[in-house]
Amino acid sequence: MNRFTCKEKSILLSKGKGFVAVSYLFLSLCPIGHGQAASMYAESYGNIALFADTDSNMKLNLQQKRISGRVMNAVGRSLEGVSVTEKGTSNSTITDHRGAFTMALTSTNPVLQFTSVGYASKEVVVADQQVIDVSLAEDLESLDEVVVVGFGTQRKASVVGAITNVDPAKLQMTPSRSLSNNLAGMVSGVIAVQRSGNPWFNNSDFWIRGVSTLAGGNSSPMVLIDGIERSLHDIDPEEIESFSVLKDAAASAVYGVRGANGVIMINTKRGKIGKPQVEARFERAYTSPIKLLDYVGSVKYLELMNEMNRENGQAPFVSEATLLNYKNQTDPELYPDINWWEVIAKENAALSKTNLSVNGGSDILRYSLVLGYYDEDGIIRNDPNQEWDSSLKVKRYTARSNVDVNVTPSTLVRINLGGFLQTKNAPPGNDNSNFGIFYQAMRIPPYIHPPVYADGRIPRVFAKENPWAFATQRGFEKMNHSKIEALTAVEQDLKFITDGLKAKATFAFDKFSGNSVTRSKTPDYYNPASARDADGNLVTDISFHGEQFLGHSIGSQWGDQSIYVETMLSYNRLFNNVHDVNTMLLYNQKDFDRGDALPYRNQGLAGRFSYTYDNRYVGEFNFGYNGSENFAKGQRFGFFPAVALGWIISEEDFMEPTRSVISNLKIRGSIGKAGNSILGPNIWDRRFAYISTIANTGDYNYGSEAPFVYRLGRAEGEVGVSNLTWETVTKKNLGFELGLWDNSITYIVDIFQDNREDIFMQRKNVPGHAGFNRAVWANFGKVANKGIDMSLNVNKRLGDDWLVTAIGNYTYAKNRIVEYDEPLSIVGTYRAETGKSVGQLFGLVSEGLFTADDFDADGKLKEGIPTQNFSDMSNLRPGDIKYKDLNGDGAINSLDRTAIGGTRMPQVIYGFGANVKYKAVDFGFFFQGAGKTYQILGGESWLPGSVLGAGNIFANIDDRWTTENPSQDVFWPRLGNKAVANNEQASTWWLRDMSFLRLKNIEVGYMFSQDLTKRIGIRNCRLFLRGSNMLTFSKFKLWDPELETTDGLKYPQMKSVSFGLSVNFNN
Amino acid sequence: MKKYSIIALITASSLCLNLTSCSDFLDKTPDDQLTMEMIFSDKIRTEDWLASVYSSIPSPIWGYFKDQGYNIMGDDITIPQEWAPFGWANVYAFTTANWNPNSSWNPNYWVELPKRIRTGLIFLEKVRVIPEAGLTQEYVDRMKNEVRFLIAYYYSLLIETYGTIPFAPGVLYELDASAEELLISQTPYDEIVDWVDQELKDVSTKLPAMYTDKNDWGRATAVMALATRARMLLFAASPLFNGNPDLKDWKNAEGVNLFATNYDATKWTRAANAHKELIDMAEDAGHKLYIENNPDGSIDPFMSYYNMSLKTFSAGNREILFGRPENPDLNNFQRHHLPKGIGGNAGMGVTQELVDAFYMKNGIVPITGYNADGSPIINPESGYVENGFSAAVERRTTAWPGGGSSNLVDGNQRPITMEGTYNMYCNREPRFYVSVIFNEAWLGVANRRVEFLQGGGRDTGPTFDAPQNGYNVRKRISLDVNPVDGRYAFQPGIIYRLAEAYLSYAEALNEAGGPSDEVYKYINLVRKRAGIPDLKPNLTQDEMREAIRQERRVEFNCEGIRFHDIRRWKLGEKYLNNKLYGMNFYGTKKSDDKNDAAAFYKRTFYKSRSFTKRMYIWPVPQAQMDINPNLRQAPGYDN
Repeated sequence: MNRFTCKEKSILLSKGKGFVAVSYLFLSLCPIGHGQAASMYAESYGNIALFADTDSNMKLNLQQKRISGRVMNAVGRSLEGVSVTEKGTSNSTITDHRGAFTMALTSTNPVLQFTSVGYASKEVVVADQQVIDVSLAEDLESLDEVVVVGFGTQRKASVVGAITNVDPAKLQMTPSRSLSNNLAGMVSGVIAVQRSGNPWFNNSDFWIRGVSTLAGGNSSPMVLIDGIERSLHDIDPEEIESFSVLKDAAASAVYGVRGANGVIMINTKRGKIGKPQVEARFERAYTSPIKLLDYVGSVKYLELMNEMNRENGQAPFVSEATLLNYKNQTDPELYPDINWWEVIAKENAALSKTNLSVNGGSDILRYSLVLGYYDEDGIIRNDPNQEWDSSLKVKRYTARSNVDVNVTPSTLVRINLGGFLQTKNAPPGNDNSNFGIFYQAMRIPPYIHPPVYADGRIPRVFAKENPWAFATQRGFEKMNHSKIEALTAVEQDLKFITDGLKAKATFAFDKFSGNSVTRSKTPDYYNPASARDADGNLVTDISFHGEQFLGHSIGSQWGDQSIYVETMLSYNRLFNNVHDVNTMLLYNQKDFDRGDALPYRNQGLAGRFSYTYDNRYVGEFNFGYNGSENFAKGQRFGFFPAVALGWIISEEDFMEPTRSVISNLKIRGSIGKAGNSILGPNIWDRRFAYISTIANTGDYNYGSEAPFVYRLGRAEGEVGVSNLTWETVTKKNLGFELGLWDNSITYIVDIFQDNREDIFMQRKNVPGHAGFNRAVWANFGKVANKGIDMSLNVNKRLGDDWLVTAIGNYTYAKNRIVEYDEPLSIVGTYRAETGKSVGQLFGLVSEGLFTADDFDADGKLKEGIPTQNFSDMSNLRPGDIKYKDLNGDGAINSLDRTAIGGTRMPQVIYGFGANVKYKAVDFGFFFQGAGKTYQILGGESWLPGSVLGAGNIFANIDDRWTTENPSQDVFWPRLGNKAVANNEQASTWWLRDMSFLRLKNIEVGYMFSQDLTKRIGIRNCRLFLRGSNMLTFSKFKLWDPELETTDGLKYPQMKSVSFGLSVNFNN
Repeated sequence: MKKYSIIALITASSLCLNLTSCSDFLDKTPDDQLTMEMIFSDKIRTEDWLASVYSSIPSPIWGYFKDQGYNIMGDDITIPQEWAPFGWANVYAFTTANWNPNSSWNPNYWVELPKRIRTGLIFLEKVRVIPEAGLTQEYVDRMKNEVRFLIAYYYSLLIETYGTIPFAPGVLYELDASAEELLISQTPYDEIVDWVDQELKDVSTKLPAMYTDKNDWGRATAVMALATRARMLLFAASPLFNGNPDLKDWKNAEGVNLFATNYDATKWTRAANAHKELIDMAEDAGHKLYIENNPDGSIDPFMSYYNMSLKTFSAGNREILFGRPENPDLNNFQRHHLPKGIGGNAGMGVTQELVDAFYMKNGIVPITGYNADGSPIINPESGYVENGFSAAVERRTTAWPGGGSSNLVDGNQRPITMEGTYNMYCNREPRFYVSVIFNEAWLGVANRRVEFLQGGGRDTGPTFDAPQNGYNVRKRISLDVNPVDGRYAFQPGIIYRLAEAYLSYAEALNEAGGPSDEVYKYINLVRKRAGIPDLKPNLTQDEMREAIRQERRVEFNCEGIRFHDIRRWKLGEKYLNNKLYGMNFYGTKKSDDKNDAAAFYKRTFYKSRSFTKRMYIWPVPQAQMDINPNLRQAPGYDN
C-alpha cells in the first residue's frame, strides 16, 4: 500500500459520485506518517483535476500554491516522465504523456527541479508564476550518468575500468528462456555459445574474454544479481534494470580470489518515483529446428550395404528379391522405410512468454513488481493415445518484488524478494548426453522395423532402442526447480558526521530446491518381424516382457542455500567542484550449504579509492583482500590490488573548439590482480587442498556364495598439499572511448592481456608405477590470454520522426598455454600442448586419400609409404585416408598427432544490427557470428558401414570415394563393411571450420496511436513480429555449426517466429 | 538527529561485529574425513583397506570378455564388430591388429596395478596389532601375507602382459620423490620372475592352503600363491619369454637386455617342479577334479564338465584353486552368450575352428588342418562326417538335460543330439555339447530347438545381435538361465583350476624330459573326466606336445586361457591372423549344399582376424613413455 496506489483508486472512482469521500477514505488507509496527508491529498487532487477538467469547480480551499506546466525538449516535443521536484522538500511529481504536470507547492520560495535521464536537469525559480513551461536540453554528454561497478555505482565519467553496460532491452532479442542465449555478439567482451536446442539444456556456455585457465579449471565468470552470486540462467530478462560486465582488474579486483574470470553484474528493477506504471507483455513463438539431419532411405541404405559387401568379397547383404520388396514397398511392415527423425520430432513447437510489471512510488516508498511466465514445448513427439503426457516441455514462473523505503530522510531500506518455479516434463532419461532420443534415432537404420506394427506390437532390436518407443512409450519424468532469493539492505546517510559518508549493510539469503519424479515403464518389445504366417499375421516373438503400468520413483531431492552478509562504508564527495573523491571499504562473507559435511565459505575485504580532478584526470585504486577455506592457514588470504588511470581529453580546454564534434574522448588503462580459489570446474570437485583424504575405491567380496562378506574398498585418496594456494591473474587493460556529435556515435575499444599463473592442476608427470590413486595437485600452469573487444553504438534522431540506432560488437580472445606440466618427452615437440591454446584440437595431418598407385600388386602398401598403424593393414585400400608421418619414423601412429585447426570454443564473437523507427513503426535486425571455432567430425557410428546395419547414413553419401570415382575432392573416404579404424582417426580430413553468421533477430513493430488506445485504458501499445535465428550462414552444412557435437546427434538448434504485444496501461 | 545516531551506531557496530567475530570464519577442518590413523585402529576399516588391495583381481567372468578381453582376443569366441561402440571397442581393436601404444585397454595394468601395490605397501606399513579390536597378531600376520601375495600376483600379471616393467618392489614413493627415483627404466624379466617366485614361495609357507569357513573363500591361500607361481614359471619357460629371438634387442635405458637371449631348458624343469609342488599341496588340502557320477558309478562327463564351471566351493567344487568370489555383470555375461529368441544378446559365437577342435566321442581329433580354400582336412580314423543330417536321436548315459527334450529320455540315457542334427555336430565328445550352441541344438528353457535360419528363425535376425557365424556359446552358462524371464544363475569366477595344474605340469614335464608316464597320467586324468579314452601310448615328444596343446584347447575353451597359451607358444600368427569361418549367416534353408547360396550348413567365410608379431606383448602406454624417457618400448611398437 502506498499513496499512489491510493491515488490510483481515487482516480478510478472519481468518475463516479462521491469521489472526495472515497479519496479521503483511501488516504486514511495509507500508512504514511510525517503529517503529509494534507499535501498528498492536495497533490492527488491536483492530478485528478488535470485529468478531469470538468471537476475543476470542485477546488478545495487549500493554503498551498498550485503550479502547473509542460515540459518539452529542444524541438518542442512533450517529454513524459520528467521528475519535477520542489527543491529542498520531498515534494515531487512526474509529467504525463503530454509533458504536463501539476503540483502543490509547500515552501516559501519554491524552486522547481526538472530531471530526466538523458537530459540536463534544470532549476526554475517559481516566484509568481502559476504556469511554468520549460524545455530541457538533451544531455548527451551524460557526465553525471551513473553506472554500476563492483560493490556500488560510479559516475560514468570517472569510470576507468573496462566495463560493458548493455541496455537490458537488447538482451531480449530472442524469446529464449535463458538470458545467456542473448549475450553473444551483443555484449562486447563476452564469448558465448549455445550448444543445444533442448528447452531444458539450452543455456549457453559463456566466458568473459575467453579462458585464461587450463582445461578442467574453473573458467566461469562470477554472476552477481543484486550483488549476490546467482545463476544467470534463471532470471527473467524483464526483471533486469542494468547489465554490466566487469572485464579488467580495475573492475574486478575487489572480488579478489573470485574475480579472475570476470564478473557479470545484474541489478534488478527498482521502483521509480511516479505514478504506477503498469506494463504487460506477451509473446508467442513458433519454433522449428534450424536443421535436421538428412539420412538416406531403406533402398539406398541396402544398396550401399550390398555394395560394401561386394567390395569385401562377401555375399550381398540382402538379395535382389528383398531389395525389390523395399523398392516396391510391397509390405511396409516387413520392408519398412523409416525416417526416424521425422518419427520422433515434430516440425514445430511453440513457446510463450508473458510478463506483467508494476513500477512506481514516492520519495518515501518505491516498488517494482515483475511477474513472468514462460513455457516452451520441445519438438519431441508424444503419443496422444497414452493417458499420460511424455512430451518435452518446460515451464517457468518468476516473480520479483523490490521495495525501497525511506524510513527516515537519511535511511533507506531495500527489500528484494525474487524467486522462480521451474518444471520440466520429458520422456524418462531426457538428458543431454550422447544417449538421448536423437542419438537413438541415429542408431537404427531405416529398413529394420517400423515404429510400431499395426497390431500394436512394438519391435526392437537387441541392444538398441526403438526411437519412437523410447520417446513415447516409456512414461515420463518431471523435474521441479525452485528458488527464493531475498535481500535486505539498510543504507544510512552519515552526513551528520560528514557530507558524503554513507554506511550500508546487506543481508541476503537464497534457497534453491529441486526434486524429481519418474513415472516410467518399459513396454513389451518384440523381435522385428521376419515374415508373415499363412494367415498374414506377422511372425514375431516377444523379446522383452515389459510392464503394464507406470512405475513411480521419487528422484533425489536436492537443494542448497546461501547466506550472505556485507557491510560497507563509503565516502563520496566533490570538493570545490574539482576534487571528486569516491571511496569505499567493505566486508563480506558467504556461507553456501549444499548438504556437504561442511558449508562452503569465503570472506573478504574490498576497498576503492577513486579521485577525479576536474572531470579530466582520474586515478583509482581498488583492492580485494580475501580468503578461501580451500587452503591451509597461512596460505589462505591474499591481497589483490589494482590501479587504473584515466584521462578525459575531451574535457580539456584545448578541446573546446572540437567539442561540437568530439563530445567524449577518454583514454584509460588499468593493471591489477585477481584470483581463483576453486580447484576444479565445480566447487565440490576438490576442497581443502591441504587435507589428505581416504578414497573409497575398489570394494571386494569374500565368500563362496551369497551372502558375501562385503568390504568397502578404502585406499589413499587425494594427497594433501600444504602449500597449495590460489591462482592469480594479472590483468592489463588499455581502453579508448570516443563519442561524436553529442555522443550520438560512441566507440569503445579495449585491448587486454591476462597472465594467469599458479594454475591448479593435477601433476601429469608422475609415472604410473608410482601408484598414486589420484594425481597430486600443484600450483603449476601458466596461461596468457589476450585480445580486443570493441563496441560501436549509433543513436541518432533524424528530425522528429526518425530514430536510427545501430550497434556493432566484436570480441577476440586468444589464449596460450605458457607453462604446463607436460611429459618431458613431449615438451618442445609438435605434440606439445604448451604454446597452444587451451582446448586446442589435436589430430593427424591428412594428405588426402590413398590412390591405387600407393599399393603394389598384392594390395600391400608400397615400400617407402609409412605403415598405417591404426587399421588392420590388410584392410587398408585405395580411398582410405593417408596421413603425414610427422616424426618420420616410417609409421603413422598416435605420435603423429599434432595441433590442427584451433579450439572448439570460438575465439571471435561478433554482432551487428540496426533499428530504425519511423513514427509508429520500428524495424530492427541483428546478426551474430562466431569465428575461429572448429570441430573434428567423428563418433562411434560416424563412418557408414563401420557399424554394419547399425546406424543411419547421411544423405550426402554419394559424395564419396569409390573405385569408379576415385576423387580426392569428396566428403567421405572409401566405405568399408568393417571398421576402417584408419579412417576414423581425428585428422585434418575431418576438421571443419564451424564459423557461422546468423540472423539472430529480425523484428518489426508498430506502436498504436494513443488516440486509439487511450479510450480502452491503454496508454501505449506495441505489436511486434519477430524472427529468431531465421538465417544461418556457414561453410558447414550437415547440422547447425553451433551445436556441441561431432556427429550431429543432439537436439537441434531452433529458430522461431513470434508475435507479441506490449502494453502500457493508462492510469 | 538522535534517531540517525542510533541507526549509525547500529550500522557501525554491525560492521565491527562482523569484522571481529569472523576472523575465524574460515577456520574449520572437515570432521567427516577418515584418517589413516582411524582406518588402522578398526578391524572392519582395516579389512576395507585390504579389500581395495584385492579389488584388481580380474573377473574371469565378464572381465575376460569385455575388460581384459582374453576370450575375444583368442580364437575361441568372436564378437560382432558392431558391438564395438558398446564398450567392446578396445577388445575388438586387438582382433583387427589395431593395437598400438595409444590403444586403450580397460584394465590398464601398467597404471592400475601399481595403485593396488601402493595401497598394499601402505597396508604393510600401517597395519597394527590391536587385539581388543579383533586385530590379533595372528590375523594381522595373515593379512600381511595376503597383501604380500597380492603384490606378487599383480607383478606376475604385469609381466605376463608387458613382459617387463619398472620394478621397485617395496618402494613407497613420497610426494616429493625426485625424478631419479621415479623415472626408472625396466628391469630384466628374469629378475622380476625370480623375485616373484621367491615371494610367492615364501608366503605359501605362511598362508593356509585352504580355508574351512566358506566366508573366507576367495582370500589368499598358499595354493593360490603356488598356482600363480606355477603359471608364471610356465610362462617364463615357454617360447615367448625363453630365448625368444624377437626380444633379443630389447634393452633397458642402461643397455641391459630385458630378456635372456638364449633358450634355457632348465626353465621347464623349474616350471615342472613348481607345478608338482602346487599339485601336491592342493591335493593334500583336499582339492580334486570336479566329478559327478552316473547311477552305475561311471563318471558322467557331461555333468562333471558342466558343473565344474558352475558349482561353488560350498557346493563341493574343489577343483577351483584360485577364484574370484563375486563377479560383476554376471547377468550381462550370461545374456550375451545365449540366443536371441530367449532374450540373449546372441552376437557372441564360438569360432568354427573351436568347433573343429573338439574330439569325436572316441577321443580322436576329427580335423587336422585346413586347405587353402578353408575346407577341412579330415582325420579319417576319427569317423568324422561333415555332410548330411542325423537320422535319429543320439542318447548317452548322463543326467545332463541339455541335449534334447525330456520326452526323449530313456532310462539313464538322455538325448545328446536330436534327429536331423547336422552331422558335423554328431558323435562329438561331451565337452563339445557343454560348450557350443549350434543350429538345431536343444534350447531347454524354450522347450524347442535353436533356430538360426534367416527368414523366420527365432534366434537370428538381420542385425548384429545374432550369431554372425552361426554359433553361440554354451560353456560356463547354466541351462536354467533364461534372459527373457530375467532368470539368471550365480556362478563362481574361476581363475585357476586343478585341471590347469595337471595339463601345465604335463606340458612342462614333456618339454623338460619328453613323454613320461607322469605326463600321460595327468593328461589322462583330465580326459577321463571328459569322458574320452586315454591318449594312445608311445607318442614322441613332438606328438605329445601337439596332444597337450589340443587337450588344453578343448579343456580350457572359453575360459580365457587359450589366448595366453597362443602367446606362450608364439602361435599368434597361426591362429590369430587368419580367416574365420562359420555357418552361413545369411542362409535361409536347412541344407548343406555348398552350391546353394541359401544353404545354412556350409562353411562360410565370416571375417578376417589380424595379428602381428609385436602383439604378443602389450605396448607400454604412450602416456607413460612420454612421462618417463627411461622406458623402452616393446619391440615393434616404436616404429
